[in-house]
Amino acid sequence: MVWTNAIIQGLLTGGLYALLASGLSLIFGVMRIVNLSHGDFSILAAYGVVALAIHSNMWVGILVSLPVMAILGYLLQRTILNRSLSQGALAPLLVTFAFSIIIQNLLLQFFSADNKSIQTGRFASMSIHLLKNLQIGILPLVTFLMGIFVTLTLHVFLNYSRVGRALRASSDDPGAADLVGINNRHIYGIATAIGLFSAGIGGVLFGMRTQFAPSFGPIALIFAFEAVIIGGLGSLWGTLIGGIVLGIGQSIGAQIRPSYGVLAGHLVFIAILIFRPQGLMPKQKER
Amino acid sequence: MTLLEIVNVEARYGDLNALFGVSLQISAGEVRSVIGANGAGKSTLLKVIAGTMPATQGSIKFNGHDIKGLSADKRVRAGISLVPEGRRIFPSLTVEENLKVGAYSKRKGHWDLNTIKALYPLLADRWDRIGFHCSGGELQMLSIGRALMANPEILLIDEASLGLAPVVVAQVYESLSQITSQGTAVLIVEQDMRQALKASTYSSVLLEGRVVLEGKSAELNENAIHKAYFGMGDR
Repeated sequence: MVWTNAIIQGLLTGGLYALLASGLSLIFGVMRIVNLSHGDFSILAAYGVVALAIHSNMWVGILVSLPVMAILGYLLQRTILNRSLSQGALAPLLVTFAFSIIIQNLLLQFFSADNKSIQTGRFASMSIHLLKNLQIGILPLVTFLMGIFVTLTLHVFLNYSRVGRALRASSDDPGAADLVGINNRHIYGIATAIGLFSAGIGGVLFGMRTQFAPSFGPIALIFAFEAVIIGGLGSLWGTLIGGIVLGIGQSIGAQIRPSYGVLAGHLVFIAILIFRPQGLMPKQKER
Repeated sequence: MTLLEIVNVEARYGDLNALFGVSLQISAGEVRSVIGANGAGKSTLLKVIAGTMPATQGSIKFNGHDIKGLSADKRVRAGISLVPEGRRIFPSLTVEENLKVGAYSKRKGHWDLNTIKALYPLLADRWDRIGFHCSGGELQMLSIGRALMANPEILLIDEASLGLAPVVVAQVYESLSQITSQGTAVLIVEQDMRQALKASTYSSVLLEGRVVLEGKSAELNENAIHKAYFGMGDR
């Protein structure tokens, strides 16, 4: 039963990693930008909620800070990242690294290095009993369902909407996208807006679950990276599966010995890199 | 009524000049061909009109407006669509999705999924196939279909016949009359001289970036075209 429990808890945690990773996967898939600041944007959204909750409440904080993340994403893409894209592959990488440093230092400046968390009251500790020895928390369950919901929403958006198809077209061949009237720079802005919005959802749920500090962005980034690579580059469903595999790996490791959790996750990641470098669900050329 | 008017257009790749003072006029519903050998500047001319390459000199007027400053995507919205060299079909999108993306600019008109299906029945049979798996002929029809989905006033076609089986080339050229019957002007660029002359009312021969011969397709002397094409005449 302890192992079943570990697997289920890991599965639920996987939803969080998928949320942290789906935007990373989208931004890379459309623009080939490796967003090194992705985790920091997640943490930024969590701090946004903390700051706004002081003056009003958590829900207002979420409703304000997530759209702000999307707007911020669009503006950063249109003003800075698009410019860097024409300077080769290294420039956007350095720019996002700079974002990472800037965000961390701004957060230190305004919120200090003390740990914070998003106060959800009873919500964070509520749980439901499935079996005698098996109970699952409402927050992890909501996180997991949100991971599936976001992946599904992105899937529908990319496959069945006009702008979603334009995103995929632009990802395939930006030059040809130009020729059908697609403004690539605008499309890139939308991709980053969606990417940071989903990063924000992940960050907020992360902040409800554990305490966080300005330096937590890179940790979130590593988990997100591992989820993307385990799942297979460029595949949204793969990213969800990757997050779940990582979550279960960590949870089983922690069951063996509490300090082994994160290590076990990294070992799963390395094993995938060695034995299946294309990931579990690589982007399919055919349907 | 002149739809597209380019006057003394020049374009260059770095230090290399590719077009020297090229002028052309096209009216609505007209088919016009530009013939020339490899490297004569045909594709460059289309790129300059479509806006994927800047003109360094001269003017480009579309419906009386100067469009030289417009980016390629805005020119599509204005009514200029290019069927590019190499087709450039989106490989991970299906035939249907490629056509739908073609309608991104939301221009209204005769062409939609159904009329394209009727124009190229072969595409209807390949509806769910991704671009990556389409044959050369399918890609060419899809590329023209995708450009038509924007309901352009002028369709620019770069090397419609290149690398295709003669049967497919015939099909593609046959479809031109259905396209122009909707009032769309077509500018085709070809190496295949006979095909181009047969399809167009007016032709220009391009040699090393200059128009060396032009006239009504039916009246152009084949011998004169040969000389112009290879640059053997006294210019």
